[in-house]
Amino acid sequence: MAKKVGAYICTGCGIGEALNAEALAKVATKEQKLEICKTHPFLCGAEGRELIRQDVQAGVDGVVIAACSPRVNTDVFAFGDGVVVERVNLREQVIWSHPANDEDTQMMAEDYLRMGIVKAKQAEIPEPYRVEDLARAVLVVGGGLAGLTAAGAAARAGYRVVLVEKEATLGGWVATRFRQVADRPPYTDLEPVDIARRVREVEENPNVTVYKGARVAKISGAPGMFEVSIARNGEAVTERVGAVVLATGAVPYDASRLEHLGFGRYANVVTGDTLEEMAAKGKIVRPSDGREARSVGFVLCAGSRDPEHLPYCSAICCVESLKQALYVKEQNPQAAVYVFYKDMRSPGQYEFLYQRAQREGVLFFRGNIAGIEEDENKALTVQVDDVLVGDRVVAEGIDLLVLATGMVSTAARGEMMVVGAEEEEEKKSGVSLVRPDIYFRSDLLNLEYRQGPELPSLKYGFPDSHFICFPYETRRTGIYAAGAVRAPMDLPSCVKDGLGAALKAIQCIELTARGASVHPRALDTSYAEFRMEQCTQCKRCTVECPFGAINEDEKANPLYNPTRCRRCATCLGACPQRIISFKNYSITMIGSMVKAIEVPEEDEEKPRILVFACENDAYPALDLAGINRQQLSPWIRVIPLRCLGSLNLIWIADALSKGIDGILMLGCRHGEDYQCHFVKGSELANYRLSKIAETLTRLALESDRVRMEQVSITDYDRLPRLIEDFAKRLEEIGPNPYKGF
Amino acid sequence: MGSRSILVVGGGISGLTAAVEASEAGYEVFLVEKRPYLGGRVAQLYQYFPKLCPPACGLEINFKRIRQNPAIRYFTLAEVTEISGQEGDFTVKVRLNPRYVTEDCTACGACVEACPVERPNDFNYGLDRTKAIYLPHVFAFPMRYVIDPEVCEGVACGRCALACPVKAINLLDKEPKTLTLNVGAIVWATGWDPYDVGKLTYYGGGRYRNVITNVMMERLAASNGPTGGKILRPSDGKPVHKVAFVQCAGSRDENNLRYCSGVCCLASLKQATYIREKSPDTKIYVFFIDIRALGRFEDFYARVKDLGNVFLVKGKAGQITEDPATGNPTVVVEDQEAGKLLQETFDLVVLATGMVPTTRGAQVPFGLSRDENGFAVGAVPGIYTAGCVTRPMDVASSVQDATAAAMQAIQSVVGR
Amino acid sequence: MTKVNPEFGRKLQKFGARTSYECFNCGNCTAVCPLSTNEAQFPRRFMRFVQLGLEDKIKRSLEPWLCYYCGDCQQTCPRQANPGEVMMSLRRYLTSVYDWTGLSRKLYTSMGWKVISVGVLFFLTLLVVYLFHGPIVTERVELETFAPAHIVHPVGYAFGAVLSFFLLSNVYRMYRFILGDMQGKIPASAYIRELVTLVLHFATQIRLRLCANKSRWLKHWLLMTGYFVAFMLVNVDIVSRWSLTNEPPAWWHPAKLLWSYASIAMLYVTTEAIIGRLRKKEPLHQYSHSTDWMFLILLWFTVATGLLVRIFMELHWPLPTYYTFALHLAFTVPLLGLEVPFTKWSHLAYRPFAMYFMRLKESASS
Repeated sequence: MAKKVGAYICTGCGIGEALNAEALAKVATKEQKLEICKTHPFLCGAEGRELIRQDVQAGVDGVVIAACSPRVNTDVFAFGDGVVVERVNLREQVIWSHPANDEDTQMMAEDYLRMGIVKAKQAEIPEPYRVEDLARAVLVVGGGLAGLTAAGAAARAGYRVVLVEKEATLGGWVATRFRQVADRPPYTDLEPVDIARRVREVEENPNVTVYKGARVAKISGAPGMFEVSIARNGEAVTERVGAVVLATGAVPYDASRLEHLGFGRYANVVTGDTLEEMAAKGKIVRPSDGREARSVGFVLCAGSRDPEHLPYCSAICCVESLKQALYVKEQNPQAAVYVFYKDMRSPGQYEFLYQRAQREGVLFFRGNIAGIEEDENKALTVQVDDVLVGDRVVAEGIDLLVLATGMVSTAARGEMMVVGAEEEEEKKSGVSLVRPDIYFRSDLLNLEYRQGPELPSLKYGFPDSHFICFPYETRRTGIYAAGAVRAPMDLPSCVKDGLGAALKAIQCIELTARGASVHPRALDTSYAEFRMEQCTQCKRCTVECPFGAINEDEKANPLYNPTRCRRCATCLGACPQRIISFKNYSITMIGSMVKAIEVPEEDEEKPRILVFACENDAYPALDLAGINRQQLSPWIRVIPLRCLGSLNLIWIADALSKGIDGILMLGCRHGEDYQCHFVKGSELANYRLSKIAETLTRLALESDRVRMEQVSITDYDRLPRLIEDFAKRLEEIGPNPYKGF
Repeated sequence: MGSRSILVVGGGISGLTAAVEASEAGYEVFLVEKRPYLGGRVAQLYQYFPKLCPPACGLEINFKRIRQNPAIRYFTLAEVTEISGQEGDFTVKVRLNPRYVTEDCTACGACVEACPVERPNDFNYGLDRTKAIYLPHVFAFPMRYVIDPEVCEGVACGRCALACPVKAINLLDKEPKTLTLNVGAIVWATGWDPYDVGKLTYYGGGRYRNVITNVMMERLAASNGPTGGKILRPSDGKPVHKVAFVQCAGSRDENNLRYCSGVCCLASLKQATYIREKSPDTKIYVFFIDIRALGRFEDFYARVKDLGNVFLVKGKAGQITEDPATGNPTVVVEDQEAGKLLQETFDLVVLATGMVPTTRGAQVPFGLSRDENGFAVGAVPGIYTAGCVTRPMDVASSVQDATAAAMQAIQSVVGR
Repeated sequence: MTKVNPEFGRKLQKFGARTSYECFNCGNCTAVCPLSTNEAQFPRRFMRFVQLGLEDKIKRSLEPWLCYYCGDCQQTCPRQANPGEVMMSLRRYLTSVYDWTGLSRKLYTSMGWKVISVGVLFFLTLLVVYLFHGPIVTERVELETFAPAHIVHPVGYAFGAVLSFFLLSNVYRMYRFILGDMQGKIPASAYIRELVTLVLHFATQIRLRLCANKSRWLKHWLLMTGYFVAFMLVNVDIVSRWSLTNEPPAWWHPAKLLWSYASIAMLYVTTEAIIGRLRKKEPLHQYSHSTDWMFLILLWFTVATGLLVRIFMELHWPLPTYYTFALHLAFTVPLLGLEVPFTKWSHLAYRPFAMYFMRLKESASS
């Protein structure tokens, strides 16, 4: 707890003109009994900062800055590791969004100052969590292109690497290719696959320990201290690593399910893999009789872009087939080559490869295949409804028909598990407020995690990030997916992905070494503490943690892993016993802020609306409303939360019993296109809200007094209306009867 | 003597990512950006596909990471002018162009009211105007005003300086400064420019007011854009009832950009959702050659296809003409699926213009090799490229690429 | 349902279509084409037919004849696949398809056949002149004596009849290909009524005016009228001996004025076309098939020698007149003999007939 708190009120940027600074100072000194409260006309200027610095040197360890938003001048108002800094947002959220020299505006500023001071008083300086004997090693699962790249990169950056490959040799899928498309001008050359070099580099690197013919039998522990059990030839080896890269790639879609395209029915219908094999052996032939194939057809989207099979596009089949079409043309320039496609997807410089194939006489058919038949010579006839002709056309005498089967993530195999966050009896109701998590028992990582043995899948079994801005984020801290396991991608992308995932793994190790969180609260050194003596083993925390940070022992006691934790404090919000806290973020801290709000008597007709705002999106949106000088309701009091998922219902109860008229929860969009930085926070807040009706009824209050809204950072122009609507509803309901109790 | 520091050139999504990721792995990073704010082109987008989420959300986190991390130092209005030395020990000269507004600026906006001069707003692609002193945009980071020296009358006017309550305007400080950095590795991530529509004469070459580009469409949809987020056509500010998207406007074209710009299909599908959201009855036509919705973007394509009032027409728009009386553009296209020659008149036509790497035609101060289209090829030891200077790519790929480049830079400087 | 013929593209290359494979069927060309209509869409569809070798569809199409090679498609084609040139090649190909003798195909696809055919007709003509010419009067120009009417006229008629036979029989084959399966559905009255269309398009080539570049129509029309005037004058002369007499007519003689017009018009346009094809600036002139040169060279020399004959007559230079006249005939015979029914010039018939057939088709479907 901060021993000595000082308040500093800035009167610049119009604050001094719009507010009564003296009255504000009195709140700090008289009411909150602070010894130090200084007012300065330009606090962020050199002189203002110096003023604070001197006090800090004189022993102030809690600094309350009543000035602008915490979103600005963060670096200016930083006074070293031992000093708690609390920002009271008088500028953006008070004077810029409310009328100047107004009684209500002044009351708001005073409330915010009170809230800031009580928070600063209670906040403590977090002590970083240090892992004993931190493992500066990276486990890479999968020895294909992405895995080899990741392993090589991490090793070259000075980390020990443990590489586990299930096959007897390294190289993966790429090694089965005859040629690859050169990723350099003119972008149309077919060159030998660049994999042997990468295998050699990894195998020769003394920093890399390679386990071939092996699988990961078990991973327990947490970032910085994962215990990995590797099974090889019936024996088990244990390795200790700091972070994991999952790069197990994809497998082709099962062609035996493509009977409608002739696979399995006709001898000369094969998959792209078979063609690669033949090309590597030196001759592309008809499997039926071994004669050279003089006419070859390629069926694209064989299984992909097909709701019956793979609804997604496998991203590389167009380019792979163009390449294979050129194998045929290189073998025999006179050969007839047909490509049956839906859309030709050769983005970027791959367009030149498409152009080359066209130029070399490959014929392209756009449209649905109407039929594939075999003639007496085992040659195939393909009928296609060609959109470009506007008629059905028939290609006859095809010696070899190649199916470009799509890719299936290796993480999408195995038994599917659906794990929900709701209570058992709620699940039965059929109305799900929290989207369940999907896991596949793919036998890749075998995590000893309470929530499931593998990475949760996003869609179609890909353990991809849902974040456009942060494609490496998975929901298991310190475990990063790279390459085709996480999304269909081409070879250069797999290389990039391997490099990127290696960086994320290293970053995780380095941040963990500093006792700090990884993305999105990177550098945060606070972590959750559990007062276990009051735990009732209700499992809410272990179920709700979006990152699987909390395991359970056999008695259902939570076993918290600080290095897995992303510090969203969802557990804090989930815990009905309120036993979870962070040094600088706790139930009592926020609770006392709620309590610090002065609630006027009913006859004053000044209702109060408590706004819990997600600090990532909703809070900046409120700032932006101010920057745009949008006027907001004078009744609101905003408390930023790490994530709306950290909202504990006790705060709502506290507020209502204090006479606050309504509570507005502003969180990120949830559902399929969720924007919550902690994946499930706003969704869980919504779920908790559904349970609050009960509490309200017990208090004989209307459930409408609590409302949740999904807002994004750009919704600042929507906010005034949204708040106003809520205020109107509260007016209809009437004042909170608990006022004055 | 070697350096462990990394220089990132370009403060767009690629550069930001490379800088933040490298610094969080424990490396000192310098970030240099030519514009007066960080965020680059993505800051000008309304939403990202396929989630339809605002770029400001991701930028906000990245800015927060920068604000909190003393290992990153960033410079806006800064350009690299010279690179010498070699891997592990580069000396880089950076020109810092004057902002005329000091760090004391509190973004109060008093100066704007005083300023008598206007300029076309480049942030909104010229769709509206700002004063000579302006805040680049409402999410600008750093949140500081800047003066456009091209139009500012300088000391002769000086009204902004008088109006500034914190004396944060210095009109005399006109000379660019030079900063010299010693770094071990460099990530070049200077991004892309939209293709010049002036070259697309058969689409009006930029002369028709109601034929706009896809980047302008982003501004029209954005709530901090020139129309406050209402999709109104530029000629008369009227709402739109029928809109066309013309794909491959310049891309996949031997006479313009030979390559496919990779993102325009999804960008147009996304922009169709903007219109759908803001005016559900508007008829939307998309004229395309191939819809390139790779991977899981296929879902998004399927979703937009089924929105209703969205008509995807296989056929490249051949020609656009304008009715001078109404300002309505007419598009002629061969609807190949229907076997018809369409001639449709629209309220607004959006050209899906492609991406041109900034390394095309520009002077790049080191021996970076480029292909015929200006994309960077390979890497000079210690200098790595990221994002759209290597190939056209979307945001997620740029982030992926930039993280990879950061890793390469780290490998280069590790142990120094 | 049509069968794909992967060999067709290669076959058509000999007719000049080297770039059809470049096309990715975006449809830009059809959209920019000022002549393409909903009923007759081209060139994209034909690029497609060529790529897949849908010969049957091509044979039944009249669209290639509706294309006037304005070149807009060529200039904006994103793949530089030269749709205009592919349409041109299709016209050459169709000409060879219509021609039942097979000579057309040989002329288009074989350099040897071209050279030999031209050479044979050229020297054969010279030989005929050598063997059958009349007395050579050297005191003054007596062209009629040199080329006696009793020989020139029957030979001319016979030649004209043969050419007409070939051309018209080819036109009939064209009719069978295009309208063969709907013959019964076309009302007889339409055949009569639509003759107007035939004549109109034959006389004006008005469709060429739809191209943005209007000067091309004018040039083409000049060439066409020049040719027509010359053709008519030859016929009139044959019947009436109006101007081709030993006695040169006065300068104001209408025939003389008309001759001058025809010669100058044709010479100007041909010369310009040759220069254009050498410079390759306009899309129309960027790709020259060997038969294009054959046509231009024969025509230019025919006109040039014809003009020279007139000049030498005016100058009263007997021998140059006779020799040049012989050369004139030697160029004229292969020009007419090969170009009118078998190659380039046949389009003068096919184009208006295509319009005629299109109208007939419409009348069948309405």
